[in-house]
Amino acid sequence: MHGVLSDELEELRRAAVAAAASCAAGTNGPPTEPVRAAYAALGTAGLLTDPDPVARLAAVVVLEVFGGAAAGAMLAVDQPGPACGALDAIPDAGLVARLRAAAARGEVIGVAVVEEPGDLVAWVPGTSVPAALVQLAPGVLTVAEAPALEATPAPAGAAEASGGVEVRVAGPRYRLEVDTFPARSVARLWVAALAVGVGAAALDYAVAYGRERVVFGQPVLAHQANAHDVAAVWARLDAARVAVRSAVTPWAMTQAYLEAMPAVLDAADWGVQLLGGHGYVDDHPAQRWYREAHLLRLLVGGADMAVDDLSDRVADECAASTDELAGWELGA
Amino acid sequence: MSAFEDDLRAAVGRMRDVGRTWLRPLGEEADRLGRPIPPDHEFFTMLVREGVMRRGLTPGGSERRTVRNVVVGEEGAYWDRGALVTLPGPGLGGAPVRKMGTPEQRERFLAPFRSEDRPRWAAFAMTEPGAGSDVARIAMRADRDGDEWVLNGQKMYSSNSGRADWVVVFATVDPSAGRNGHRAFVVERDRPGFVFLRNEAKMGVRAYETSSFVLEDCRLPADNLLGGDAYYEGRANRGFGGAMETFNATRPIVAVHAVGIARSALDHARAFVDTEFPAHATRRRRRALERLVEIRRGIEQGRRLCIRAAELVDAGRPNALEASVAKLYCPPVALAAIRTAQDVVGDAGVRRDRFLEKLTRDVKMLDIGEGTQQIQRRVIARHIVGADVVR
Repeated sequence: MHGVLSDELEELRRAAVAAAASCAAGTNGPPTEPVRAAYAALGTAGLLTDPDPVARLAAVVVLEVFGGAAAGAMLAVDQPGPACGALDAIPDAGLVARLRAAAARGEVIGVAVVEEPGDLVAWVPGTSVPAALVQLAPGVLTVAEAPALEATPAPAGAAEASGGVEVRVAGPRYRLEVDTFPARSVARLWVAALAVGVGAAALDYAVAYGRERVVFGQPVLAHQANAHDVAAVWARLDAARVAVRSAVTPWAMTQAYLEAMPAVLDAADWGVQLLGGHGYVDDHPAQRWYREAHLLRLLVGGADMAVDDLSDRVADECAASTDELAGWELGA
Repeated sequence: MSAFEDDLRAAVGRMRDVGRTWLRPLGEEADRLGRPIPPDHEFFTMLVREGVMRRGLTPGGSERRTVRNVVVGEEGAYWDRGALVTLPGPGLGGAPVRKMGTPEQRERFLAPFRSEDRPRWAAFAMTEPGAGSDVARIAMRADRDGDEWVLNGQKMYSSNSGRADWVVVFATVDPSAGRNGHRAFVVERDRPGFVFLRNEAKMGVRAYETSSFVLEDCRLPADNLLGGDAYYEGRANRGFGGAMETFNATRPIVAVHAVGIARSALDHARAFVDTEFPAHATRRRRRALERLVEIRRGIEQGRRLCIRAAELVDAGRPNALEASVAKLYCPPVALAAIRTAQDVVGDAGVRRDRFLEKLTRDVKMLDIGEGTQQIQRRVIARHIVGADVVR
């Protein structure tokens, strides 16, 4: 069922909540190392491209939970994470084995989804030179490994727990002409799953606060206008969660990303708004979720590039099936 | 063009120079370091040296003062909203002194701002840990003791109060009376009993400090009560009313800061389109340009709403509804503008600079401070539905 978890997956989700809670610290999120251990113990890393749909959904569910608890740290912790679709596309077994081994050691495999000519430059989470940088430009997959990479600190401002480096490719690289849309879509699903967790955490916290905090004689959320706003934001996030959990094809993954990111931004925005001034300061985690939501939406090329990808697919369909297109035009 | 417009144009030009040279770099530095611009910074001493304390940053007559503050304020926020708020002067504390104070109080508290010995600030304190939007719940006590008032309680989210000479503090003489118990006092920061607590760790607009303080048996002479006893005789809710009048006058100015931030995002995206999407990259360029049109429409509409609300203030007419419309409209428009700019720039916004990311954090303050979005909706609803129904 779309978005509805089986008993086994619900049990996994509860275990993930407990694991994430065990490393939570402060309103700005836990440091990287406890998150790495807690996440690894759940055994879902790298399952986002598993052929078994249950395994894939398990990975999504755990990413949601850890997104809410530690999105900043997860950018660096979950490896190969957004790159796992790219690894499936690379036919060079030796290269894939090296990348997987680096990821298993906790090293970062950076992902860039840009269409730039010349030397590739990318923002990569972490504090040191990543093991590799994968570029997923349309039609071209490029991999450059550590000796060919130069990194300089480039704080992203929004993910203190993971930091960030600006990586420049200054050496040889592996290059493959291939359709990178599937790999880009997996990366988007990875981001969307974390983001849905960020939005859900922000709303949960705000709702708990709004049930207690009294204004004009009653709790914040007893005021109908506030309650209805939160309900609308919650429903949109819930719809996004269904899209993320049920996405199997590249098209559905990219669409899930496009459903999720605006819904998450609204949820994070209301997460601050309902707390008022308290939401804007470090005393509460609302400001962290707000910052993380805005950072996550910028990864893997942003919304415009996702729409470009989908419009390319529609264009292909149009060219392939003009009869069907005529039917749409008639509104049949 | 009228003399006023000539004057205004010159004032905007002056703010642009200050913004480019000082506000933008200082704002970005404060954001990076996570601490406000220190009060002894050479920027402030430069302003004093240039006579800004005496004649204002943008000299001109008092004609259409609020419109002027709106137009020049947009330009300042374009460069950096956080740094703009650090500009010396009575700031938000000045409005209640001008509106509620006796002539003697206005002279006593505002005249020092015309001297040129050092930069000076004043501040305004309403919010408390248990009273934000619902200001009727404030718990800061004011008790009369002979010729003195004794204040006890805590205030928070008070901008610039860490460096202010004095703070306008709203307190209650009777918590059970709600807003009818409100009184406004000027509390000098060197009074015994004024205990500074901390600067809040804000996620944005970090160039100015937003502070908490406690008043512990803080004794004030009777004439620190704004307007004196006579001001409240027969109209117990004038203390609360004075605070609301302050907000009505300042909301158009705060709202237009969002317009300035949106303009900043627009320019950032425009420069990106110009360099990254050359004319032959038709699809991306066309979509990006359409997005920029959306931003620009929001900017121009927001500016119109702020100026309308400001014109009413300058005409001495009620503007609570129009001020709330402007304050409700502008911050979400600015946030949408920044998001749109981020869509245009894509992940280049992460790796090339932090500018748009900083704007997302800065602009959210404007959806909260000076009355949250929900409060503006409430004000508007009470006007159009009726205060007897919307309580």
